[in-house]
Amino acid sequence: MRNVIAATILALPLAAGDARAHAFLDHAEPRVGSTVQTAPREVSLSFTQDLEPAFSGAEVRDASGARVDQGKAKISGSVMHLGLKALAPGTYKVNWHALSVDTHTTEGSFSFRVGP
Amino acid sequence: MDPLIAVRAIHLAATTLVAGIVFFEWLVAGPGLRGPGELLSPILLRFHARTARILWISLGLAVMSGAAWLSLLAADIVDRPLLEVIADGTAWKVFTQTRFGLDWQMRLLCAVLLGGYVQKSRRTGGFSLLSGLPAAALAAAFIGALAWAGHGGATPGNTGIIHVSADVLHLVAAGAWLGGLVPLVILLGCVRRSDGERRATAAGAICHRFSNLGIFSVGALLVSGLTNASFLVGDAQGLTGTSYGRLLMLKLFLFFGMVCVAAVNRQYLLPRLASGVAAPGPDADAQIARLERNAALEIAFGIAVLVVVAMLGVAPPATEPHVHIH
Repeated sequence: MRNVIAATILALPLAAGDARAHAFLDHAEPRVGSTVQTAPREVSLSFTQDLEPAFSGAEVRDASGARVDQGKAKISGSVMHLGLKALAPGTYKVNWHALSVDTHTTEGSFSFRVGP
Repeated sequence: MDPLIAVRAIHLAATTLVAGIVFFEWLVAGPGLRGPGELLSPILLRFHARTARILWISLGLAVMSGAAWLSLLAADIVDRPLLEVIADGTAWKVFTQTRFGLDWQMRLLCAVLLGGYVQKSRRTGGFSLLSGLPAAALAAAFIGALAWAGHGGATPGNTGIIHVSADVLHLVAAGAWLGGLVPLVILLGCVRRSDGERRATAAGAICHRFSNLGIFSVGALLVSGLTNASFLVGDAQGLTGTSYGRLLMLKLFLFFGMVCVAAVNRQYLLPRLASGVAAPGPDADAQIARLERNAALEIAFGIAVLVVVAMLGVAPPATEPHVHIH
């Protein structure tokens, strides 16, 4: 029994993974800096940690600075979805802000291009 | 000092004290003093009166500092002044629409129920092992749920369950040991100043019970602390090469200071108190006074530990990448 307890104690740290205080952008679709041939209907952003929907969000703007997203992002767990209006060829910038479930804030931005 | 760190430290101290008093009354004071006989019941009454005041003050302080913590956090999240986030409902939004707020709601409910139960128990003469169980469970939930307000609740996936469980265990064990030191000093003072001939026996029984509780707590703190560190620090580089790791080393240094004082109590002072049981008198009283002083020293170390813990809570873990992806 003592051996089992000792083995459990020793094994606990081995089961550990990395902890995150902040939610970082893990990947996005369209991908960060990519060029897509077909205009996407939405932008999805996957983070390294679950988000607080009440304090997280994103917006997409075209080269002239006009918003081309459809408003409030839908958030489920660590993934954020943001609907888009019909996009013409051009470069678009996604600005996001996130509050992780352990209450740390992050923000960032990236661009993608529609067209050849 | 960052106001959020100061408020966190106050909240941790108040919460630890609430849990410590409840655990101490449940596992140490009641059983430790009822054993030596009814002769010492006036001591128990004096002790109850003093700890009741501290418990109520600590509960009130925990609720107020909890509200302040939430409001400061709301101001931090939206980067606006404190009064503005209270007035415009942002603080309320944090309270009602975030996991942190849900945790606070649950802990507030625990505080209210605990206050009511303790008040009811006072009228019936304190806790027995059975009647104290609900209060101990509420106190454990009140302090253990702090795990979801910090890094402990941040690890995703199934390993996150291990992390948050270890953090809950860490908090409850800290409450039992560190929080129990204050009622220990009060009770030893009540015993020493009493005129009962069996005060050395009573002090010995109390200290042995608390020492046993302390050994379990230190064991739980080590196992859970090691598990937490593997999530939050990772390796030796994380321990020495990051501000989080260096703060953790400071905490460990203070923790081992507490353990050393506790070891002196158990290995040196308690046996001398036991020898004083056979010959009650000034020597036994002097041993009790030394135990009180050492417990006060442990409390001083413990307060420093709580300040470091408050700082650790706002620092990014060593295992977190230090680059922002845009």
